[in-house]
Amino acid sequence: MSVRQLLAAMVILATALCAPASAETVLRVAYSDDVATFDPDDAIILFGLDVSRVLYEGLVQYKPGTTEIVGWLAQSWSISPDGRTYRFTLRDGVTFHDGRKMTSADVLAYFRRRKSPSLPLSYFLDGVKEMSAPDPRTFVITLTAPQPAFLDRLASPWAPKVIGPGALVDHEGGDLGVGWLNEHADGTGPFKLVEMVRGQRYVLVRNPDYWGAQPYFDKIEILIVPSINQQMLMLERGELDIVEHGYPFDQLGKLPPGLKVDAHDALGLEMAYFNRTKALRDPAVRKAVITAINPAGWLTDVFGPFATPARSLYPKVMINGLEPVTYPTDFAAARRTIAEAGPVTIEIGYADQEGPVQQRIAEFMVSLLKQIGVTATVRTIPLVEEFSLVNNLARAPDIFIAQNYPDAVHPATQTGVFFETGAALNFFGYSNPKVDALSAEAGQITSIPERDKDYLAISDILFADGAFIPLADIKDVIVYRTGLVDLNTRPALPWAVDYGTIRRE
Amino acid sequence: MLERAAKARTQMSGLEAAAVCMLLVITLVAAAAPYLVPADPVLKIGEPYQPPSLSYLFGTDEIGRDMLARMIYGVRLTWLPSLVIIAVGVSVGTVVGVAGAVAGGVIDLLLARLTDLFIVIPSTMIALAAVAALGPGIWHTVTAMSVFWWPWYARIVRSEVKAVSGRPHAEAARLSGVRGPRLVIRYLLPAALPTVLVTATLDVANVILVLSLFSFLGLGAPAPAPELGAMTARSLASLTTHWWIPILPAVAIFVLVVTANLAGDGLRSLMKAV
Repeated sequence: MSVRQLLAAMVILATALCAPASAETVLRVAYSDDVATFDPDDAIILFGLDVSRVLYEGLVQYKPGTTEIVGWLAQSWSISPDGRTYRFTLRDGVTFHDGRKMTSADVLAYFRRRKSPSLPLSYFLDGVKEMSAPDPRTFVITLTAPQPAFLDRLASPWAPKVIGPGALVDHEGGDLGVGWLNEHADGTGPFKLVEMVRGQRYVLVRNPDYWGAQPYFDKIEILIVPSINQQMLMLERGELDIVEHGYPFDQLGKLPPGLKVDAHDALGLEMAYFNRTKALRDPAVRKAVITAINPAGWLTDVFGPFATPARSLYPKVMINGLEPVTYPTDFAAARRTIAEAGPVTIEIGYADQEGPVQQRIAEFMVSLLKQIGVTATVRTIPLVEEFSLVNNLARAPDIFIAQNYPDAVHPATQTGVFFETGAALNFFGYSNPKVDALSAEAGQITSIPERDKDYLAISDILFADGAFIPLADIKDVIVYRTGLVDLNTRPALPWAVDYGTIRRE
Repeated sequence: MLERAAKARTQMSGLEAAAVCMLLVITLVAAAAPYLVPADPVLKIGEPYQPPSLSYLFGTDEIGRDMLARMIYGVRLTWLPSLVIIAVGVSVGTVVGVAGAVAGGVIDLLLARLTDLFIVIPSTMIALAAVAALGPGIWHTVTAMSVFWWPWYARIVRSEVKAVSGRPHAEAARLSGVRGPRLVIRYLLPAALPTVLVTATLDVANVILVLSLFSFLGLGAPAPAPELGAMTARSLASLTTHWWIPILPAVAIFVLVVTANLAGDGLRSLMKAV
């Protein structure tokens, strides 16, 4: 080999060694907000569900693109004839990220942790009487009473997902491992969390010991980029592969070359909550206001083809086959009602998680309300304030609009979270014994048509009362670079693709 | 006198004179906005995102509201509060400055230190925090800004009044028995006012910018009030697709600020000459 050849070989070798890891094996995604925690028991998160589900896995999950429940860590399961006992046969050969083998004892220890009242998501296991691990591959849950929605709760994006003893024993720390899990993870999923710099980025790497099919990507980088404009630019320049949420609907029709849209039906339901203690105390005024805010007046302008008028207070993925809700349409009558009621001034609050879209809806409503003589203003409601609205209805807005996500596909998870007396997201404290009784009755019915009949009766009562107003079923929209395939989105999993299956063509 | 006025006109450039005229027009338009706008600034009058055309001179926004109407109201919502803030600042500053200069001694020292305190604290940041705590609203913004907008005027008035009070005409007034408010109003204040007025005119541009910043940050009048800063902030995502929605309100702020600055320069030239 001549000196020249040797030098050339050295240059090639040096170039190869110094080159960054191939971008082909790294998936780059942006979140608009930091994730509170990936601890599956400690917080309801929206951004981060896709990371959470490749770090941790539950017993069951929804099959991609459907609402069908399939096994995950549970290979199979059976339900006793009285509907109270669930017996799960666990998958063999599953290991935690620290290399320990998963057994039913680990699953039991984890579920006991999940049931701790100090953890905010412990309510998923309400009604669980006892749990046991009779052999290393069997886990049994016994309920105090049948819960037809129980399996859906276990398939929810916020469902219990098994955390390993590396966190729950080695780093228990007197706080059930909550502190350690704020910045670490010990699950069974196809990726491991290797870096978490709050406000900047999270890095996941492929778990070589994963029990299932190996993911295509070696590494996933999640960047925290608060501005959607910046995310759009980064996507266009190839610095990001996916914008999972927040791409402006009005720009989806003219995407730059090299980008594609995945729009799928989801559980997101746009809903208006009425505060019936102030300007909207009078049912006639409420009816006039409902006439004005009819989504027919703004839906296409705001969402284009990515939303349809709501069919009930349950997303169409949950209860399908209905006609859109019928709104009163007599604007002249609405104007007369407001004229008789005297000056009506209201405030519309909107959830800040969906800021630009919600503000646009609110401003359309202001314009339409003005046509019937109602003066309205608009303000954003920060997430922390949403949960305290019920404590001070006098200072709360008259209408609150938000895109809502129930826990799972079963309608009981919508009723229980939003409509029942004292429900966590019943923002204005609506209470109706008839609704509560119907909900309790429907929650025990296993026949889907019979069950849905009760839930639709609840929807009708709430709409007629002017307490909750169904507005629109909104598609989940994901914008990504062409060449990515097998995104495997799920209707019940908001703002998320499956990092375990996504790959480049 | 006529000669001096003529000299003043010659000392004010054509551009400055035009700016003064423009400012008068802006004030008239702001005051008469409800009678001038082609449409209600809150009502949807056409399809969203219509570009400027003969039908809609400044186009329509993301709701389908008339941009021209919203900008006229936007100027009103920026210009009139700016005048209020300046008026409050000048009034409070004058009272504090005169009180310190006339009283002297410990009172003067205390008022001077209080003025210094308000000057050194980061007033805009505190005003932002105050409005954030009180909740967005144009009057909250005006109140919070007014609280911090007087110290410079107090300092100017104090030094001017102190300088004037040693002059012969003030001494003569004192010797002839003029005391108290009469002395201040007839003999001391008139000499300080020109400097204050020129400062105030130039200061309007600063107030407009700070008000627009508040509005840009969502701390102005509640939406959907057509505030110029907020209109730009809310529609930044449309910059590349519907440029007129974020750009035109920003241009309006620019024009207001430049006009106010030029008019201030013009008035200063006028005062010097007179």
